[in-house]
Amino acid sequence: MNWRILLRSPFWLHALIIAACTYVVWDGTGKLFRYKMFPYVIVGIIITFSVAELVRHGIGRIKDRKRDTVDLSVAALPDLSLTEYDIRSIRFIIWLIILIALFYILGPTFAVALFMALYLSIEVRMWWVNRVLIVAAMTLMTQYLFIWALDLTVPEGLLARIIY
Amino acid sequence: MAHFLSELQIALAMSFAPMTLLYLVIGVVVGMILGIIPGFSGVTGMVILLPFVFNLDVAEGMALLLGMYVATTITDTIPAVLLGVPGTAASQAHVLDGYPMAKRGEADRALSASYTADVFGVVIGFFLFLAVIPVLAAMTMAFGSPEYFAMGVVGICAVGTISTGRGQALKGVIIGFLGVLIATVGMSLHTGLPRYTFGQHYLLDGFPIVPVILGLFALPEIIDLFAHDETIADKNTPQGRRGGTVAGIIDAFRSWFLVVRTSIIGGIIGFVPAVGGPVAQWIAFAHAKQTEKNADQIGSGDVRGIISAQAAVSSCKPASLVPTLVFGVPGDVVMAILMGAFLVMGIRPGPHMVGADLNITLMLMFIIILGNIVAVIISLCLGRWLLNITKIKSSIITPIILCFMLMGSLVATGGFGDIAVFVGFGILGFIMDKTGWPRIPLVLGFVLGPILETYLFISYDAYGVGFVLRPIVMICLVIAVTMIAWPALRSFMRRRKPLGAKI
Repeated sequence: MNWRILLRSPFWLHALIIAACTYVVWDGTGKLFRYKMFPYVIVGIIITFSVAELVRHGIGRIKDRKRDTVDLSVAALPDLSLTEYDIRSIRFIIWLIILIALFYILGPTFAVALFMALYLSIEVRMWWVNRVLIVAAMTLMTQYLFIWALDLTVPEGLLARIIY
Repeated sequence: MAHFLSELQIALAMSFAPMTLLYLVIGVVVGMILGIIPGFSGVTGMVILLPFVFNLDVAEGMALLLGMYVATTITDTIPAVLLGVPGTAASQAHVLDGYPMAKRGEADRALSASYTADVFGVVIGFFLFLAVIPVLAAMTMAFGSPEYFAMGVVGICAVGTISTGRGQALKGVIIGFLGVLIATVGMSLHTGLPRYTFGQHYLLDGFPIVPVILGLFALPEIIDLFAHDETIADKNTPQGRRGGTVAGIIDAFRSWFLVVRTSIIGGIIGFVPAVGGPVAQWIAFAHAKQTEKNADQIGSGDVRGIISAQAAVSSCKPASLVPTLVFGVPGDVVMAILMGAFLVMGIRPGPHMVGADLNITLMLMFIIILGNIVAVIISLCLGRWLLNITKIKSSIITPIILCFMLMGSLVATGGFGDIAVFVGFGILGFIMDKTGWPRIPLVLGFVLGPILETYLFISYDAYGVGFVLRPIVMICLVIAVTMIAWPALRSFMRRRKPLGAKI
């Protein structure tokens, strides 16, 4: 099945929610009343509304069938091909994974510098002077704004742990 | 009265402190930049700035966040007027009159009229707030833990219902309560036992608010911005020539009665949770069309259309703080994030915000007014120059913001767990966005979760299950159920009407 149809199915999030609720109920079994009272109240509300939503959805489908209003024309079929938007979204996710990997290996300051340099060279193909300026600005901002001014504790990179 | 004056004095001193003003200007500048880029909103801006308030005191942190928030609602008018593209949802009505005016060469007149109406609106909104303080104080006297719990439930139902499309109210409410359930992860408040942590030490304190909100809201927006990779300026050419600034200011003064009326409308709407500026602008616009002379011109390039919409939007801002601060029920997602920031900075919403801690509430109001004035001054001077920001390609902005977000998510514990939470909730937010599940109620539920749990425990300990039979609680629960069932009831009643007609 195409991933876009799968994602757009109204049932998957319900299934996820019901799985979470089941876990909460299972986890609370045999525990103190004060431990489970609030989660159980919330789970009760969620399950009630989830069932109501599924019933509402089911009734809607039955009504549509009765009315025979389902548009079966080719134009009504969802576009299943990967659009430019999808491709660019996937590209962004790849860049995000690269940035996180660099964070893990090099630590934030060097990771930001290297990531910006790579991104601006490959994705934007920017003039090298502008590239250097932006990379320098971002590196300084990471170091001064976040690490010094905000006094942020940042994770050490894998390389730093190996070297020191 | 003496108490009020002393609180007012403290609030003024905090608002006008040099560091507060500095952070206010920084917030305003950031907000102005984000407001001009269509696709960005006060939500994204507030999420990006949230990590920075951790090390600041209350006045400075709030100046940064509120300065950013108010500035987005002023500069979003610039693309609406000059390009015909609303910067945020609260500037849609401005396009109807602003863009035709810009095409006629009256862009500066439209913008300056909007800015002047904005300042009037926010001041009137502030006075409306002052007028309702005694009423609020009396109301809060009747409120105990059961009532606050019920108000929280109403808030989640209201936001869940309004943030979803037609016939989708249940989805929003389910997601809102899922947010509450997510907030129960971590050490149980009343037993000290770890709950749903899967043995992870990281989760003992629960999911940290900053990576959660950054992931849910900012990451999907950035993916969207990157995927569309285009500039608004590619498609739309700025309209209008310079001049007419003074004429616009005079227009706003001439329409003073319209400004007052629409500001009052906006202020009243602002008090209602989950409605806010995007709705207020249209109601004010419709009011102007119904009541003004030569009303047929409004909507096709009349300055009164812009004045009415902007006055309503800006007067909403002080009023929308009231449900958040006093009842702990954030009216919209910006207020939910703001409430998260309040909790981080040690401000606990409740009746004391119009009593013992009135100075903090007044300070927030002053910051909103000052932020508006600063944003208006900068917009009047640099409005057209700021429009150049729309020429920057989104593919250049996105990596910068991505790095900011990833660094910002580290503010919680400084470990890779924060990044994992950020990415996890980012994926959830992206999927929810693409499948039509609202993200706003999830954040609201997440922020309200621990407060609701505390109120429920106190209520249960004090009254047992009978707390739900208290009059205000029952009224709140009836309101909540009606809100959820209203779409079904309405369609049922509509179906009955033609039958009656036939008979």
